Amino acid sequence: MAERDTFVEDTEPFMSSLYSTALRLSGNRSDAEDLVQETYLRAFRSYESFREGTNLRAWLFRILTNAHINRYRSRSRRPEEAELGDIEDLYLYRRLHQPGDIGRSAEEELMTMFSEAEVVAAVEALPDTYRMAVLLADVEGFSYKEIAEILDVPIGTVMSRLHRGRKSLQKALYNFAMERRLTEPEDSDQQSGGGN
Amino acid sequence: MINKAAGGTKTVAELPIPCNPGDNCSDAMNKVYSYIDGWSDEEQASEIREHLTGCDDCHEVYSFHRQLKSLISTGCRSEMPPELHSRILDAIACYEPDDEI
Repeated sequence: MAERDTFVEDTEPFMSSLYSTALRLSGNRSDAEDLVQETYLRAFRSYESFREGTNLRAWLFRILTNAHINRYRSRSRRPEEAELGDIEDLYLYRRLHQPGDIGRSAEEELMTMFSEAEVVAAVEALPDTYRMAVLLADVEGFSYKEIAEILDVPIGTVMSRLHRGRKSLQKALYNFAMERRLTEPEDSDQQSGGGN
Repeated sequence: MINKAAGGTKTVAELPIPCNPGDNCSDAMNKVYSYIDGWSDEEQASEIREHLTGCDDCHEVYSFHRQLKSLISTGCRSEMPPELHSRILDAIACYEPDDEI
């Protein structure tokens, strides 16, 4: 077995981001904590075979994602396939960027538009395959090549999942914004049909 | 943004991307994203950067998607519960080679 102290020292810096990812993958704290613990034990068990100087962070994330996949397999839950229709590119941008708008840019709108809870909900609504790609790229900043190694798929597949995942995310966010508008109280000062 | 081209407003269909006649929308967005993600090769990155400097419309699209990525990134980070850290260290300390995980 590997030296416990060495292992802990080497892998401890990654615990927080592994937890963060686990939480988004599992959707709840309890499962996320179990998943991270499982990841660390599996990593510890095979640490002697880890080649020093290679990408430790990617290696740990690979163990995490595999453990997650195995969990839902064992619960007879199929990884959600993309049943989504084709979503256009620039889905959210086009809808926030109304022709004839004066004043606020689409980017400014974006910054104030969504709560953290909505962002999390939109990400957690993504099918697993897309969600993993988006988390690894957008939250953890892995390269396409690293993601390909972590998920054990070709780079082209990574890019495709990212592309689609990001579009799905935009659609989910937009739906939240629309739902909110439906439930917002009427403001008699607002122009009907107007932009901001 | 009504002060753009002469003649005023643009319809949604006329929005900037793609700028290159050879690109379709997906290709253009892939380039924007690989630039945002930092994973385009130097030559392509240089081309994109140059284009963005000169093209307000595309720059706005780039800016928007960069902001969106940042929104996802900060929104999805969670603090680790403090007790998890010690729980994991304990688990490692107790783990024996043939234990089931």
